[in-house]
Amino acid sequence: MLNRQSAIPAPSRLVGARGADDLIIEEGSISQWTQLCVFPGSQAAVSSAWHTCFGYALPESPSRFHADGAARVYRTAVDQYWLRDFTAPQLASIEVVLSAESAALIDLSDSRVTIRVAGRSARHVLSQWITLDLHPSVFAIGTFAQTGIHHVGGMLERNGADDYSFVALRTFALTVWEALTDVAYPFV
Amino acid sequence: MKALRLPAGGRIDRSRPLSFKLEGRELTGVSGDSLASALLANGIQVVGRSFKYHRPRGVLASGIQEPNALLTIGTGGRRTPNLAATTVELADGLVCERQNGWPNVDWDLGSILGLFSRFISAGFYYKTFMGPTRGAWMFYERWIRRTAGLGKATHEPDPDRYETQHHHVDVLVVGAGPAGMAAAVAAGRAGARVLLVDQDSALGGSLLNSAVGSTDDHGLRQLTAQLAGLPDVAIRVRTTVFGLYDGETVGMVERREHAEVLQGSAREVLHVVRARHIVYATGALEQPLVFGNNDRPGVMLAESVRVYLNRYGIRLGEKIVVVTMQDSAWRTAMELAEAGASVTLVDGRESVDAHWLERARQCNVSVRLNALPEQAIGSPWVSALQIQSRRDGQRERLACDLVAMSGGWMPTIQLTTHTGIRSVFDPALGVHVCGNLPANQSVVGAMTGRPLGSLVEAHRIGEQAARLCGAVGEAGESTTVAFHSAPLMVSQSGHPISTHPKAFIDLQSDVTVADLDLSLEDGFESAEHLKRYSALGMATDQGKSSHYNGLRILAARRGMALDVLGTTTHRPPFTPVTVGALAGRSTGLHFRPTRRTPLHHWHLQHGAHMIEAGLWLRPWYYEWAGREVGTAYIEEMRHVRRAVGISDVSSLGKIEIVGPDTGKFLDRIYVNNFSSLTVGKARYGVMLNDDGTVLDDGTTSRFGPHRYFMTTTTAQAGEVMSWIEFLLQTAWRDLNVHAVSVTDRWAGFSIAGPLSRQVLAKAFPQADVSGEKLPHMGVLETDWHGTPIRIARLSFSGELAYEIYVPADSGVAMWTHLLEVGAFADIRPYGLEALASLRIEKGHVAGIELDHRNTLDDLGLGKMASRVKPYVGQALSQRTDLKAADRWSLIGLELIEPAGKLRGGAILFAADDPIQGHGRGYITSVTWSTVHERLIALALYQGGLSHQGEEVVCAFPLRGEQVRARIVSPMFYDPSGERLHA
Repeated sequence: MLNRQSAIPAPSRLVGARGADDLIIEEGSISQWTQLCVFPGSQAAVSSAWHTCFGYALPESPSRFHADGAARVYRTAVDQYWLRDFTAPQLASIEVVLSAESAALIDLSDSRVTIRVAGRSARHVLSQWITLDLHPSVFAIGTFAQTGIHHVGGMLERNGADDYSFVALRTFALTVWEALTDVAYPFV
Repeated sequence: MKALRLPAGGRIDRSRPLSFKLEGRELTGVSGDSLASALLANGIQVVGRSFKYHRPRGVLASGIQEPNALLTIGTGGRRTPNLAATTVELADGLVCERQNGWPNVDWDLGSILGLFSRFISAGFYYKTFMGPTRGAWMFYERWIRRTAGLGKATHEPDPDRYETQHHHVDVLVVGAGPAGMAAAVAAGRAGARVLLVDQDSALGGSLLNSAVGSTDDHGLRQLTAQLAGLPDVAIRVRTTVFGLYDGETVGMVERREHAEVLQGSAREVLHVVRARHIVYATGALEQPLVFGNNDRPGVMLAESVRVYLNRYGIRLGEKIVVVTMQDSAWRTAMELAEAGASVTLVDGRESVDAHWLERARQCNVSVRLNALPEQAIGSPWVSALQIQSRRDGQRERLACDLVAMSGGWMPTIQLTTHTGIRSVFDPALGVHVCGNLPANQSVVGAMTGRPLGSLVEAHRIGEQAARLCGAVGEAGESTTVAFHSAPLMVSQSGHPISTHPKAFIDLQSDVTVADLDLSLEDGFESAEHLKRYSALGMATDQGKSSHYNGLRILAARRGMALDVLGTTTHRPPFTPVTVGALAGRSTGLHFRPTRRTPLHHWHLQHGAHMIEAGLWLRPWYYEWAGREVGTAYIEEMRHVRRAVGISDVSSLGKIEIVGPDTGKFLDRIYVNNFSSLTVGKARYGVMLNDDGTVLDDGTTSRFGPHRYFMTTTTAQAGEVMSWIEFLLQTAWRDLNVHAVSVTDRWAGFSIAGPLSRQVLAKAFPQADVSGEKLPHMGVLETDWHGTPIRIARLSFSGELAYEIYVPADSGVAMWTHLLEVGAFADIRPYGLEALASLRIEKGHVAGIELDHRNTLDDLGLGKMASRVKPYVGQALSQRTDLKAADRWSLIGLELIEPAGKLRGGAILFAADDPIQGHGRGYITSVTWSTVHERLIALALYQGGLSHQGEEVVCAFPLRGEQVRARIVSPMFYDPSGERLHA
């Protein structure tokens, strides 16, 4: 394999003056992204095939992801799902049971960069750019939403009490990084 | 006016002196002072000169309605003009200056304008200074603008930070006076997420106007304690709500303390709040009385005089006349008398409540009932007030050094009208109050127009707001503190209108009663017309101290009731908002998002000069070819033509299209046929907008039976993707097709030049890239040490060329691999300027020609359109106008005059045309041709190539240039295509 290079130059990690418990912004590990596209009229067949293959249902909610070990499934539209960190054998197994007339898989790896924002001040930092209500009663752990930072669209997910990740398009990732680290200024 | 800082009292800290400078003069205030209170305590009476007439002006108020005390604060990049001194907290080291006076505000030569006031009356700019010539106004305007106006902004960059913060709350309470606090307590207790905001630096609203230790003060402490125990109630002071927008979205600006800012805090924060319920508790603003010379320094609002006494510990006069038509000013009179002033109270009413008369007697306040102010006397500051009895017309001159006036109270309803809800006139109160608000907005306190009375109602509304948001907690009982009687709204409909020539309605815009009469005389009778013609209510205070009097007098003059007259429209912002606050962090580096290719940092490290291309940053040219773009790009072009170059084309739009119906789908969106495209092949395609004009061009490759890879121009990538999604989600939902943007997934390089195949063969020895296996428009998929690679033989330059796509994270590794293996061929990177110039030589259209106004025929692409299948835009492309023979269509231009220049945007004229108007076309793209060794251009010209061989004049009026050029074929290079098919 060729060497891989991040969109965000090192050091892609910023720790707040009061420690990582208060604020940390860092690039997440490189993920494998795949889009599962379901063709019109094939939702039932695809859901059935998925369940057969993995033993659990495709998520119905457009705002809660399903975690299965390292792998995650997000329903990003009525007829599409994002598969994160599915292994090659896992992808091959589902591709085998899906007919070409019912669905397709598209490799989106390299197209997204994950930026983790965590710590007590994470919500405050994110709220300087993101218009979503991040109150735990509204945006609970395990929730995700399509949103934007500084006009750049992306997906925000909540992984812990004060632990968020923003999944940005690779070509905009440095802009998002610059925007987030800029508004973190009072904390560093 | 003999202001005196009292030895005790007020909400200030006398042990913490603060020094500040007024026009270089060292002055001292104390912690807790506003700039206005500090100026008054230092005996500064003239705080500015009026807008038009340069009349001396003193502080009128103590809050946001202040029209006079507008100062310039700060120096250098922090210099901010037109700040109301009444809203500026005094800070140590603050530097300020008064405005609109020359050589200074105390001795202002501009005051001579007062003698010529009849030439600059309302609407003067429509009537006077119009002669003797047509352009006279332009001459006068410069001088008029120089003498009139407010402060001047700085041209230096602002060194401070401004931030933005988004919030979501259940209940937003605007205004932290007693009613707002009570509502917030109830909503918070019930379990709602509450945000309580106030523009002041402390909670309390009107309670802060009362003395420390008073009943009001006790109630304030009680409410503050109740709020402190509520975890879901957030409080923001120094925060002004300036606008209400759709969906209960509220804009507010928080001002940070000066000391905080110096330590690195943001100066201002723009808070964008989305509330489920809004409770307005914005109170009411006291209104001035309109009488002669009511703008003299020393004529102030009565409640403000009380504020300076009780909050700032300043008694503003020794001999004071309080003049009013309602009760609240009586309270001011008594408290001033208790503070040692000699007070005369003038009330326009025939009688008042007996308890006031008894209190006046106890406080030794002299009372004149049924009398009205006629004019203030004294210059520059007031020395007496002339009043007139309403009973017998007798005049009396009351010597004084301060006039405290009160013309009643106007509910602060501006915010409630921002989304279009009209206020309604309450005849009982004589003022406009809130209109019919939606169910998720409520009003409490003095803003209702009613006496505050008890806080039970505010508490109930706060609880109700929480319930509407789903809160189920116990709200408890409301506070039982008996507050001082709150201000009443009082109609002044019986108040006679002053005939004095300088009876001001709007102090900031210098609008008098005479100006209003003149506007009526000129036919501007409606409230909206009066506002525009006279500028009444249009200054930075937005009429907070003039709107009500203006309407009242206009209604009286027209003999109409106020409810029939109507009112003007309040729009955001409620108070001025700095551009810095609106911009937030979107300045400098963060002005807008930037899109960077996977090779971005490599380019920077290897001598690339970057250029913005939309949101992208792309290499413009490289220093290996020269230090200036004008020479470097030509060297890069030459290198591509004679050897091989590599260019970063990652910004091209890339769309993966999958599904069994993809061929059918592509047939519909492209004008040419794609269902016949075989696996391993690419095809150039053009798509139209549904109006028949060209949307974009690009290539689509077929990598599998159901898998296609579309590329678009960089400029139109987003638009094409949106267009495809729109069609799939609305028009053709039955098609088994999905389209996904993979622009970010793949890095893309163009390798062009006669040696490009040799470089590829060496780079990917496992792949057969021979002309037989990979002909022009052929594609293949391979890999390099496990990394997938897509290679397409396509040419934008007219040379033998390939596009290589590799996963973005591996972009740099692949790029350096190609440079290393291509060293034998002297492969070099080339930038956007050369890339674009090579395509001009080849005659390819690009973004600048694909501007959504041109048809296929205009661009010489008409032959591509299928005659056997339908496609989007086909029907409307047949419109007569789009088929006209004299449409502007694509041509090439060769410069005839070697010393001249062809310029993009130049207007084209036929050789014998007069050089005027819009001409017959224009130049879209220009480059130096390394093949023809001259400037060449692509252009759109009326009749297009039917004029081939003719001369045209290329006029560039911005530089006064005209050069001659010849119309030629736009394909300047290798028209037979031998090189790209090599």
